[in-house]
Parts: sequence; C-alpha cells; structure tokens
Amino acid sequence: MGTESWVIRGTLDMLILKLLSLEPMHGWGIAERIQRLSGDTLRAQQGSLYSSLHRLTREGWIRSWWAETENGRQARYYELTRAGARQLAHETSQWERLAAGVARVMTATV
Amino acid sequence: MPRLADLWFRLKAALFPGRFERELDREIGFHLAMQADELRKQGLPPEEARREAQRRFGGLARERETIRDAWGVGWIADARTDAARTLRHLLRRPGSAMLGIVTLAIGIGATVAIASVARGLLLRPLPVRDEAGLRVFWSDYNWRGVEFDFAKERLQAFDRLAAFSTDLATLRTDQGGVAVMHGVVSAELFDVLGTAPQLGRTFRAGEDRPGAEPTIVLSHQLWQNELGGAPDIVGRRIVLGGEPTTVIGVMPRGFYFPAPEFRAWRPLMLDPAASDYQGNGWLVLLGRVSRAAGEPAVAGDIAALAKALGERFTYPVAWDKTKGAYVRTLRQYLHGDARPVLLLLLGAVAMVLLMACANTAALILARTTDRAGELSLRVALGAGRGRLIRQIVTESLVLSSLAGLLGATLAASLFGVLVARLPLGTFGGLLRMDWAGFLIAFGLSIAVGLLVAALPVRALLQGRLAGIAGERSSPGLRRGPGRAHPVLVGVEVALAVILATGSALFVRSVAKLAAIDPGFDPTGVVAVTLVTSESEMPGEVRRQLFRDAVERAGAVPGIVHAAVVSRLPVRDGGWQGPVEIEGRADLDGPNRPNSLFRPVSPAFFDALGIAIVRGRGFEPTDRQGGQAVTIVSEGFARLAWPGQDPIGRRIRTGVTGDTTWTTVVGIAEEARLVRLTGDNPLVMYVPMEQLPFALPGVNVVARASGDPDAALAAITRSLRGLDPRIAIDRPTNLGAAIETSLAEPLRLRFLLSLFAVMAVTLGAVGVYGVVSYAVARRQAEFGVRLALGATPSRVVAEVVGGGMRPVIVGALGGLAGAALLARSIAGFLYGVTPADLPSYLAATGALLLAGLIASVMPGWRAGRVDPVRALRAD
Repeated sequence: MGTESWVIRGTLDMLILKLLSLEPMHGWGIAERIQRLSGDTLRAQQGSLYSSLHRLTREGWIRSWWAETENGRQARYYELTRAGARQLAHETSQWERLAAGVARVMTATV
Repeated sequence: MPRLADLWFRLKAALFPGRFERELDREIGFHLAMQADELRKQGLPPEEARREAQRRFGGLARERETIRDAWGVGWIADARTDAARTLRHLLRRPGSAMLGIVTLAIGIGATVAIASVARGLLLRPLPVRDEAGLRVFWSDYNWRGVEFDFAKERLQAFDRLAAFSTDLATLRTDQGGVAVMHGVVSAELFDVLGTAPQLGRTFRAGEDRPGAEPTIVLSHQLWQNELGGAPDIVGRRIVLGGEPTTVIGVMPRGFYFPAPEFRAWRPLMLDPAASDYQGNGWLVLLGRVSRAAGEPAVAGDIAALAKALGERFTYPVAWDKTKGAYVRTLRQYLHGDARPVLLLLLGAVAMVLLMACANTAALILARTTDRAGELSLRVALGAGRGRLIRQIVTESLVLSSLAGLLGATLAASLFGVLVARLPLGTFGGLLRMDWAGFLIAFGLSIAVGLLVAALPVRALLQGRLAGIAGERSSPGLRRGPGRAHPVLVGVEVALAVILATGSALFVRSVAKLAAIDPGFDPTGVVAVTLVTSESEMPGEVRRQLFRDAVERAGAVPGIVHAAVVSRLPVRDGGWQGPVEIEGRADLDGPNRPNSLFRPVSPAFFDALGIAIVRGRGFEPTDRQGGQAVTIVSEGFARLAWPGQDPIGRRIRTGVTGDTTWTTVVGIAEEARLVRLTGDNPLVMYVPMEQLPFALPGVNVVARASGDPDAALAAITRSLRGLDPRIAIDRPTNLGAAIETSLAEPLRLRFLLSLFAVMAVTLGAVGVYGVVSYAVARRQAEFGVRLALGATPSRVVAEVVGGGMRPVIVGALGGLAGAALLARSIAGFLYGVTPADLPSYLAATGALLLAGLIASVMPGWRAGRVDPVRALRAD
C-alpha cells in the first residue's frame, strides 16, 4: 500500500458530496473515483464509505435508487439533493478555511 | 426539512430492518463483484479474485455494524437489548422485581378500575339534551298536582316545567304477566328532557288531563325484550295494569329516565276534580332553565316560588315546602350519593398508586446500585451516561409495562367487583370498562415508568450512584446514601398511616352499625312483590287475591309465617303523612306529627319478628265493618301519650280519604322500617282488610325456616299460578336487603380495608427494601467495625435506628394528614368521630410495627456480616 493513506475521518462526507455533485454514481464508483482522482494517494475504507453514504441519505443530502449498470448488475446509485448541494457549499468553504489555516501554520517561519 | 427526513429515515429503518439489511447485502454484494471483476482483469483466477475482494473489504460483520450505525437506529437496538436483559434478570431473580411489578400492578389496576367507574358515572353524558340546563326541585316525590300547576304559572327563569312519578304495573305479554317499572309523567317531560323518540312521538299537551286516551311510550329495551321488537308497534294496543293502552312511541336505545330500571312512560292524570290532585304529594318537579336566565335569576325564581307556596298553601311543620327551597342539576339528583364515595375512593387509590410508585422507584434505585460493578465496568469501556440512562429508563419501562399489563387485567376484574359493590343501583348496568380504561392503564404505566426512572437517573447524573463515582473503591466510609431514600420511606409511611387511619375509622363505624338493633329480625325473611291489573280487577277481586296469596305462601314448605304489607321494610323506604291525635290540640294543625302508614295483614308482626309489647296484634276479625283499629310504634306512643296508657286512644289520618277515627289496640316494638340509622319515624300500622280500597299491589313477606333463597323460588312459583293477570317480581331476601342498606359503609369498609392492608404492606416493603439496600451498601463498613470490635448488637441497633427514623417522621406526618383529611369523611362515619383516638393509635401502631419488623430483618443481617468476606468483596 505504501504511499496510500486512508481518507481522514470527517472529510470523507465532503468528498462523497463533491463527487456526487459531478454525476450520480454507485458506492464502488465513488471508491474508485476517490482513489483515481487523488492519484492513488487516498483510499476510503469500505465500511466507512457505505456508512457515510447511508448517513448522508439519512440526513437528506443524497438520495439513492436501484438501477442496472452497463455490465448488467443491479447497483444502488446515489445523487445529490438540493439540501446536499447547500451542505457541499458549506463544507467546501469550511474546508478552504481550515486548509488555509493549516497552511499558514505549516509555512510559518518564526 | 432534513430533520424531518432524518426522523423518517430512522423510522423506516426501525420498522423495516429486514428490507434495510437485504438492500445492504445487495449493495455489498455488488461492491465485492466489481472488486473481483477488477482483480480478474489483473489476471487473478476467479476463485482467488473473489477471496481477495472479500479480504480487501475487511471484516464483513464489523463493517456491516459500522454501516448499520449510520441508520441511526442504534437506540432501538439498544432498547431491545436492554429490554431482553431486563427480562432475563427478571426470570433469573424474580423476587424483588416481581414485588415491584405486583405492587405497581395493584396500584394501576385499582386506579384504573375506580377511575373508569368515576368516569362513567360522573362524566358520561346523561341521555338528554343539554343536561346542564335541567334542574330538579326540592322535596322528592312530594309535589301535588295542584302545586305543579301553581308553580308552572309562576316560574320565569324556567322555559318549561315537568312533573313525574314512578309506578309498577303488570304488562300482559304472550308469555304471561311482566312487572314493569315505569315513569308516570306530565305531558311536558320529554320536551323538557329534549330527547326525541326513535319511533312515533312522545306526549302532547293535554294527554295528561282528564278525557285523554291512555297512551304509553316504551323504552327500546321493553320493546325489544317483551314485545318482540315488532316494527309496527306504534299504534298497537298493549295491556298495562289491565288497561288497554295505545303505544305512541319508542325511545332510542340507551335512553333512560329517571333510572335504567324504568322501562316505559305513561302520562299522569292531572284532574283538578280528583282527590289526589289536592291531596298528598307524590310528584318530582323537573324544569329546564331558559338560556337567558343566570343562576341568580333561578335562585330568585325559586325563592319567590317558595314564598308564594307559603301564601297559597298550609304545610305541616315536618314538610314545609317554603323552607330549604333549592334546585339541583339532574346529575346531582341521579348520582348524588355515589359522587362523594367515588371521590373518596379515587383519593385513597391515588395514595396507593403513589406508594407503589415510591416502592418501585426505590426498587429500581436499589437494583441499579446492586449492579454498580457492571455499570462502572461499562463506563470504563466507554458507555456514555446517555447510554446508561437509556438503559435505566428502558428497564424501568419494561417493568412498568409488565405492571401495566397486569394492572389492566386486574382493573377489568376489579371493575366488576366495584360495580357490584358500590351504591350505584341500576346505573351500574350502564357502566362498561372500555378501551379508554385500558388506555389509561397503559399511559399510567408509561408515566410511572418514566417517573420511577427519574430518581436513579438523577443519582447517576449527580454521580451519586455507588460505584460509578468510585465510591465503592473507598468502601463505605462515607455515610449518607443521598436524601432520596429516607424521603421516599417517609412519604410512603405517611400515606400508609392516612389510609390505615381512614380504614380504621370505617371498621369501627361498621362495627357500631352492625350493633344496631333494627327492631325486627331480617334473617330468613323473604318477600316478593305482587302487582295486579288494577282496572280489570275490582277491589274485591284484589282483596281476595291478597288473601289467597297469603294462604298460598303460607302453604309453601318451610314457610313459618306469611303476610302482606304495602311496603317492604328498609328496601322500599316510605312516605309519611300527618296524623291527628284525639285530645292533643297542641299537636294539631301545622303541628300534626308525621307518621309512616303501613297496611299489613295479621301475621306481619310474626313474619318480621316485631314484638307487640302492649295490647294485641291484628286479628282476622279486624275487617271492614268492625271497629277501625291501629297499632302504633313505641315512639309514636311516647310522643302522643307520654306516660299514659295508649290503648284505646284514637287517631286518624286523611291518607286514604277516610276520616273515621281508628282506635289504638296495640303497641309494636320500635322497628326501623325505613333506615337503620338516624331518627326513626313514627309508625302506625292498620289492618289491610280495613283499608277503604284495595291496593293495586302488595308485598308478600314470609319467614322461612330453611334456606331463604329456596323458599323465595318456591313462593314465586306458587304465586305465579294464582291469576294470569298478575305479575310476581322483585324477589327479595330481606337479610340481604338490610345488608344493602348497610352497604355503603360496609362496602367502603371492604374497599378501604383492602387499601389499608395494601398500604401497610407497601409501607413495610418500602422500609424493608430501603433498609436492606443501605445495609448492603455499608457491608464493608460494618465488616470493618465488627473487626475493630464493635458488638453486633450495636450495629443492629444502628441499622434499625437509621431505618426507623424516616418511619417515625413519616408516621407523625401521616397522623397530621389523617387528622386533616378525616373531617372530609365524617359524613360516612357512624358512632365514631373523625378524631377517634383508637383509630389513629391502631393505624400508627401498625405502621411502626411493620416498619420495625422491616428494619430488624436486614439489621440482623448487618450484625452478622463476616468482616473478611465483606472486605474481600471489594
């Protein structure tokens, strides 16, 4: 596994919301996408991934339905709701502030 | 909106866990399949790819658990676990928990049963329109027709006024004669009540005046049960009291007036030319207050009417209608007696429920402390306080729900006992234990469960639960188990003392009541009512019928004496009228004394066991045409001829329209013919044969030497064959009837004694539980002290002393409370004052003794603690 690292707990929700804002997809697809888009540096633990998906569904930020994939399997697809889009915007701005803060600390010279 | 969606999601997950699990299976299955596909593409053989996919996913069971957490139904699963655990504990060690459940069930059951009766009686609407507007006038069964017409013209605050009375008559049916209790009412009655008939019509103006055709309105019950529910009943003729009567209407099911046993209504005959129009009163007046009139207008109207009555009529002192004029609501009139009894019982049962709650709370608190080790372990393992609180609440709810279930069952059977034993008359038949009762039981058990959990939860929040705050690691060197326990015990004991005192007062009252000599011997006396068809049977026929009835009843095997009398002692109550006493001008005019008037046949005195203390009894020779004779009671003789020989004196009444003087030939032992308590009215007995007319019906009374109920059945059978035009009804065992008249205090004694026993038991259980709990907690301390040389007796004394302190304080508080509350039950007491010292002493003594025993038992254990084992336990 080497350079791979597990997604930080708490940011997984945000990543899922972000990915689903691009297009509806199923759990496997999300896991794949996180790994691929992060250049294989991020990997979601399967249990936490589905746990997040279900919790986000419960919160009403995403919704799901069953559909057939291109290779004929039944999969549960998720998509962002309007409340989810608002939540994503909120979390994005929070993340940016956090990241900027961390960056400032890490680049401090004195 | 997300909040609502959240709740919805959780609810679905909780309600359909199967669907959620299956979908999760499919979702994980899809993931694994995709992973395996990818691995195969990388060249792994299919079987290996599948295993590797599983490996990468991680521990399936654990991952699934993580996912399941996201459904937010954890608390439901927890609740299920907690409930299952509670039930397991309960099955393993049922002792103390069962005690709590059973006491709580009794509390809930009794409360629900009594509340259901109270609800049915005090809140159930009467079958009339706008019952709040109906008022019943003072002086029951005492208004004359002339007064009714007089009042009608003078009332302004009332829209309408109606008069009614009641009667018993024979209805001829295909199956023979049936005795029908019915209302005899003025034409306005149904308009005043505002209830429309189900079929036909009710009475029109004038149908209660001379010249009207005989008409009748039937109850739904009479129509269905005795007349076959014929749809064309309206317009048909039935024979009531021997008179062909046209049915004009049928009232709807559920309608009753004035009580459920009245099954039909026929019009009064208000004929100013008739003697009874002017004569003695026999009516009840009922009016509907006009919408515009307020209470002051009604009161003013009543006062004005009383005054006008005084100007128009002269009243004897004993029933002066100008005094004490007031109106009651119909509900007060119908249920007046039952109301205070029910409120009293509700109060008592509420106390029992409170005690049961206190006990259960103490029990749960003790159980929680017992498991302090387990709880602290779970805290150490990361269980939050919230989780523990949920566990305590779930546990408490499980116990209280079980109690609620048991309580509801108990309530259903207790309800039957109550309806049978409370003084409800035929109204008891209207009461049902409905779903609301069970709903109350369930709600009550939930409320109690939450209430009872509050105490240990509070202790937990304050970290006072032994063990959790690390108390257990410094064994028992701290005292003070918190204030909750002693307060619980104190309150319980106080309530128990109040209940026990109230009960003791009733027990002593009833003992005094039972010692009353009614002046006759009711044991073995049986009676039936014989009703003739008056209009078909001329007076002489009826007289002969009564003679035959006496003869037939006397011929029944096992019957010693048989007689007839107008009204049965105690059961029937009675009407009193003024009597003129020859030679006592000072007792004339408005000062004429009232006396009961009882036509009897000669054997009456033997049948009832009333001694003739002077002179002679009636003889078969006392007939019409002979000298008019009378026998008076001792009280009558004392009042009329103090210190003189009453025999040969003369008195007369206008009761029968006959104003000849009757001569006193005998003095009868003072017998209580109306009520067993209070002032006994004067009585004059006359030979039934000497009445100027024959009564429409009589009571046949007989003394049986054997089983009264068998004799009753035999008499009824024998009399039924006398004549097809009569009905035999109301079989009465007089001994039992007397018990009924004693019944109110007797029944209250029964119920309150039950409560008192429960109260003392609950109090003792509470003390025992709390003291045992304290002893268990301080085991280590006792161990150390015993090891350091304290004598066991000192430890025992300390435990018992500690246990008794709240008991004594509670008992004193209870005494004060009882003294305050006793005054409110003074009306139910007989021969005992509310400040009756022995009752208070007995109640307090019982509680102190129970408390002492309950503390000594665990105290004894404390004195025998093995120091080594006690210390090692920690």
